[in-house]
Amino acid sequence: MMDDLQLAVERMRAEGADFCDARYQTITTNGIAVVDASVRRISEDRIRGVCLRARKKGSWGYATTVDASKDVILEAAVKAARNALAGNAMGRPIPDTGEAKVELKAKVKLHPSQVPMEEKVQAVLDMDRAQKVDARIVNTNSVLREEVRQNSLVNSHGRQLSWEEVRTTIMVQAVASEAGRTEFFYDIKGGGLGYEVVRETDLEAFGREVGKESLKMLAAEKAPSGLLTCITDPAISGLLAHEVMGHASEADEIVKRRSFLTDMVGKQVGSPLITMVDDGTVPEARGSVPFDDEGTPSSRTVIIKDGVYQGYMQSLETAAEMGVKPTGNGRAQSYDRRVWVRMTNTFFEKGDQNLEEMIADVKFGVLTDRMISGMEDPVGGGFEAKALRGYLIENGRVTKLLRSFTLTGNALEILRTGDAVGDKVELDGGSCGKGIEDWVPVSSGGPHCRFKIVLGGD
Amino acid sequence: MDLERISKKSVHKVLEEGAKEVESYLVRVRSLTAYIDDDRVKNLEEKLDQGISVRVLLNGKMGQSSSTFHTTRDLEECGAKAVALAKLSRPDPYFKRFPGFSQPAGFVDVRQEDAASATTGYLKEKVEEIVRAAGEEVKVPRGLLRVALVERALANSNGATFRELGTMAYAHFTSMTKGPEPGEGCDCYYSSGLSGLDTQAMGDRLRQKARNAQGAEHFKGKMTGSVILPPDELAEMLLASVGYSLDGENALRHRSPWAELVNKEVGNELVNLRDQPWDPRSALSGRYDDEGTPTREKPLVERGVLRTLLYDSYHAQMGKAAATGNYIRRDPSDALNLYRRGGATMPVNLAWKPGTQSVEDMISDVKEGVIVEKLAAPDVNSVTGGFALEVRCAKLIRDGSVVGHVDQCLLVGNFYQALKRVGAVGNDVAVHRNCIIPSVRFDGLDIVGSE
Repeated sequence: MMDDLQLAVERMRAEGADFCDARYQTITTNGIAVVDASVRRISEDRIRGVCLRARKKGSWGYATTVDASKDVILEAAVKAARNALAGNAMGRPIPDTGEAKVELKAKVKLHPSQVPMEEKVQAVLDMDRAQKVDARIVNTNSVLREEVRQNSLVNSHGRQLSWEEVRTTIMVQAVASEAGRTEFFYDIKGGGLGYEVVRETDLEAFGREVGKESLKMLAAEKAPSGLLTCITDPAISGLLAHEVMGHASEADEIVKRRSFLTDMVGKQVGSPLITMVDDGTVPEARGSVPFDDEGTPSSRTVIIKDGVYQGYMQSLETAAEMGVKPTGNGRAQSYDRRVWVRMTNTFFEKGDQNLEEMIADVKFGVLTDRMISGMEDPVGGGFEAKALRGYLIENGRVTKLLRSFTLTGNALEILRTGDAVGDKVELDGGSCGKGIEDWVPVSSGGPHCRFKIVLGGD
Repeated sequence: MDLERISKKSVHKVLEEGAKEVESYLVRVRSLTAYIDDDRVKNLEEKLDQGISVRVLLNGKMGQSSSTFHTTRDLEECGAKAVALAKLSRPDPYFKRFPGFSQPAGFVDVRQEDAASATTGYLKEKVEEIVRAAGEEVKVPRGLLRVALVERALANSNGATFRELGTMAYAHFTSMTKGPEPGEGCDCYYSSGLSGLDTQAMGDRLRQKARNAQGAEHFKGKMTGSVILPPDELAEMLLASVGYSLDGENALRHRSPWAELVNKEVGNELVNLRDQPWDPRSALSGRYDDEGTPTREKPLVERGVLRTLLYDSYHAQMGKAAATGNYIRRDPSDALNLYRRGGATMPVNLAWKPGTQSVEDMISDVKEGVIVEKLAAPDVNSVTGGFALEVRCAKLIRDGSVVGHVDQCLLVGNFYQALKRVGAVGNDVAVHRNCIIPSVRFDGLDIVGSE
């Protein structure tokens, strides 16, 4: 395959591409879903295909195919080059990425291929049955998902790379209902891990706790509204890092001057307690990759240091435009999707306070617990996140459980109010879209952080 | 290769492997996209995709496999994998057969020729027209126009078989005023073809929305009033709430608020919802759903009364009901990898019967309220109906007139309760995703300022 990819690169160059690359990718996904203690789905999905990408001045041309025969690849190479030539965007040349020849296997303790499917099915059944702790649990859901990506890339600067990525996730969700009220609770574990994440989890306890917590939700009260002291848990801290500060630090938004963080390098954007990074090298994290989808090694990018804005995440193209080094953030959902600047693992660094100390200082406020969703706003810098639940804090003590609520406000104003940062970082894995498509595996997180944020209870 | 013939052959082969029931679903797609980046044509793409999904039932146990394919061996491997997985599963308590004993084989062609025959060059012209129409006052930092020709074929071991050729067209553009503290606009287009894409009108809307957002003032305080939701924002909220509650699975699993409400009131008399699966304006329209059940027009909510829930073949058997032709794997904005998707039960096209009022008429009836232009994320808690949504831009209405634009506030309420307080339904029907709906006015919702 590498020889055919090399030929495709040569064909695109011959057609007039300034820069080009060819990727071949296989993604195999195994999934087991159990609902109400019955196996609802046991499945394998395998896609494989080739992406040909050519650049002329500032325009890209793409062609993809699932037929990996040489003639079809070469035909697609011609289409990609011609599509690039038809564009009219301006841009600086991609600097030499350097030659390299590398083959890497994923560093996991227990590769999913080494574990019998029977064991996996039983594990998911065990997680599911454990959730049924009470007759008020009306619905249980459990999932195991494993993904193995095999990537090959050749580019016109002489890079020939092959690498593997493995990700495993387990998820449980219980629905509780009583007297016309229905609530749910969930938990997720996983990352850039093999099956060890399942073997090392007490599955019975994992399911049981989610069942118990869903029952507690039936008594949760409406959250207060207004500007409040809010201790964000690692998941909501991560949404603030990822959705607002992260998306707005993707350099394609900077090049277009579409981000509210354009021209902010060197400026104070938050409390001196705030340091934030994007780091694609964190061991076992869901967003970690040895190379991005342009063949650049992943790296650690400091975005905010002690409250001062430091810089942006880069692809080959944006790095060329801004005259800096690429950071390994040129990523694509799969071979048939475009590459552009994307995050990896984005999080606030730890501080020095424990959660009990942070709560003790709060006269009236809220502690969040888990997220439902968040939304990017690179233009306006607005923050919107939905917490699954939270706790009311009164006079330094947690007093009541609160049901789902929304947090909102201007991100920079929120960051400036940060007055306490917890001493333990946790990462929350998920998939990130840009606009409404192009989903890539990422994680986001941080420690507990204390800010002033506007809340709206629903 | 003839997809229908391949799908039948695949079924035959998997039966030989020992499966008792087999369904083979194949898709072939040609997808073209033109991307705008900062007013310039940045990417032109042509993507060819084909894949298969096989579901089998063997000794009461289900297995499923999907794959891209370009050789017979790929097909055989996919079928064999589904059988192997079924052997490792557990007996399913409900599912006994795939649909289709008495259905005729059929070929349906619902494609729109302008989308089917489009080239990347043609898309390039169209996106450039939109940028020009937006004018010099704003720029278009991001935009895309996509068309796809989608051929899907299905065969199962009960004789159900179909092949359908359709098209989709989708555009999504953002705009931004120039200079400091910019305002942002956004506009979308969903359809089965390009004939409804008015590039000048889209450019005009992009310019106006960005200007409105830039001129918005922060809303202060709290107001309980009328809220007019335009079709695009309303569609997302409807799909998250009504779409969820109509799914028979959620009723059977006791997690739908409408589980026990068939033939009971779920809204007021202005709530009239239908499933219109053959509407030529929508990219999801077709004569068969994605497991071969014929689609049909049906009332969902009539004058506020829930008439039916929707079932795929699995949950129809679980609930001892009939499959309703609403198992959907497709997406109105993206045609790639359809065989990979597990499918969801939803209205093929959710249509809200339009009223007679224009949006201007609806505004003139409002004493105090807003007409939403952009929400950060128009999401609703599916189970409870609760929402608290950040308003990125809205027109403020007082005494029947628009008096300005506001932002930085939350729209707060409960969607299931709001359906009982619908004040007016507009006549400005538009397609957004798989919803064909007008603007709707909801009374008694809260707007809470962030300051």
